[in-house]
Amino acid sequence: MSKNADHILWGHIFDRFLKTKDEILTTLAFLKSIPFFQKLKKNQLEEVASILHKRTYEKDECLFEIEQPGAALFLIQEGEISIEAPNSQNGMTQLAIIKDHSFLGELALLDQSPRSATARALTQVTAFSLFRTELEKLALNRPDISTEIYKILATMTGERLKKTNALLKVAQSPKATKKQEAA
Amino acid sequence: MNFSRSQRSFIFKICFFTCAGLLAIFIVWSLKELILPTILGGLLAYIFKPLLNSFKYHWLPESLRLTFLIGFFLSLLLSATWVLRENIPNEKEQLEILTRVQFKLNKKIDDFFELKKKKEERTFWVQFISDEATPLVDDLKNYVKLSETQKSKFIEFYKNNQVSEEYYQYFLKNIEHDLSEIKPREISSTELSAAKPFSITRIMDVFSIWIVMPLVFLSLLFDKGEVGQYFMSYVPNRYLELTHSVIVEVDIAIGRYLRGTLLESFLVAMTMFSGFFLIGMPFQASLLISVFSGFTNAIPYLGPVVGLVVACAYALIAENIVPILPFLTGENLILGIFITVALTQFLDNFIYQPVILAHAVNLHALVVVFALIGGSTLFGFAGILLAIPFVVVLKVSTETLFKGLRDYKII
Repeated sequence: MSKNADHILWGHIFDRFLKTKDEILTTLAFLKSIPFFQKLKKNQLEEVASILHKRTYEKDECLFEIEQPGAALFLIQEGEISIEAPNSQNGMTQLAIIKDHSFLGELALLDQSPRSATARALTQVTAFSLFRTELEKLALNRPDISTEIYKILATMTGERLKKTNALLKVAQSPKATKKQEAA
Repeated sequence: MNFSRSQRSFIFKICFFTCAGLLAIFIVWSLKELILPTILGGLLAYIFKPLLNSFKYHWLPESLRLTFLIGFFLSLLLSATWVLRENIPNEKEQLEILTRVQFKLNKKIDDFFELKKKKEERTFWVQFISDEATPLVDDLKNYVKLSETQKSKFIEFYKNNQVSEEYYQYFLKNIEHDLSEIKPREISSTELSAAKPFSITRIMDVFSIWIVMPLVFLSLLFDKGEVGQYFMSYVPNRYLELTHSVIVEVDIAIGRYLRGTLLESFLVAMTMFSGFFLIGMPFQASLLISVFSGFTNAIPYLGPVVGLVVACAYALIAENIVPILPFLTGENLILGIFITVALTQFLDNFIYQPVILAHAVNLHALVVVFALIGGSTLFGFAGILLAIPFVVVLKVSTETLFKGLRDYKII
């Protein structure tokens, strides 16, 4: 059956998940640009792509909210996300802006601990979600892929810890203490 | 009346989902014959999926893996069909079996109820049970009696030397027995349908419904997550993580239940097979009855009884029993069956279930009974078979959903 006939018969129903070759290639190229998947080969990327869920968020829509249990990592293909936390004036303070070809909520890949901030779309956003449980399943069948992902996650967490330690040291130094006292 | 946009949207949603729900119920009810093959196909795919995934190697091309696995499942299906076709008795064998069953049943009933003795000579209890059980016994006798058409067919087979002398003697004694009974017999509709020859239309009717099962099985088995992704794409963003959590919990619970039940059924079948073989039942009969009993054991309370009834029914017609254990004889085969079934149930309740189903969902006995009655009333045999998995899904999804709704601050 030709591609056109296929589309006429099923396209109106299954367009959402019958991916074209171009779409698959775009997804694979996008995944390759994310640090988590940079070392993966084509067949490994295809395996990862099969467990991702593509979502579209409208402006001001939340990807997740603070204190909610974390279940997925979000990979941003298009759009901008604001990371926000509540402030003392009952408002929200913007902590960072995440742009396309980046990711957020990676700690949800480790456990179900609550989200530490809210992620809100600043523009229309196209994102892929990778669920912790899907990654755990993948670890059983394709440990070669999950090992790479967990390795990068561990490296990132380690680097963040080092940065936090460095910031703490600076904050506890005599100079900083004097500044605080003066303030 | 002027409604705001949100009110209009609410009214529309209520109307839409009510209509959609009613339509879904109507479709499910109209296609209820397809429910059992569809769900069984799905459940089989569910059981075999981990096996299929364990064959994923990065050095094995996907096309080769799929070709090998489809070939494997097709050959399995063809072998099963072949074995089934070989073991389905033909018309002559069916008549022989019925004749033998009727002969043995008459003999056992006559012996048990002391029917050859005069009424005054019978013991009180035997007479009492005989009076009470007469309608049931008559029904049973009528069920296995040959119709007039079947009798003439049997004689025709005998004249063509296709039936052994032993069975012909059984046949004659059955006729003699029938004549000695006072009550005239009515031919039931079951008998009339049994008298019909095996037609292609009847096979095609069953085939057209059950063809759904391998189709569902193969399509779900080789699905690479597209079906799940498709349904997830309709979930609003706000409920994405929550919905996924519910699906995962249900997946774990149903997986534990199905794989646990399968393993438990296998162990029950193996235990029964060993017992039946030791008490002298032939290999083929032991295997068939124990596999059937293992399968029905998945239905709580009812399953073990069904297994026992089938084994006892076989004991009534069994011939040439050679027990391996010295204290058992062909005469007390039924006692051996009772001991085997009781021992199997003991092992199942005190060893197999606590070990295998330790982490499975716990259901209250009353819930199980209501689910079985409700399932059988609504969907017959399919309902009995699927009642417990349905309740497991319902229980886990409700619990997870409410917990998730609270955690995600939706309620």
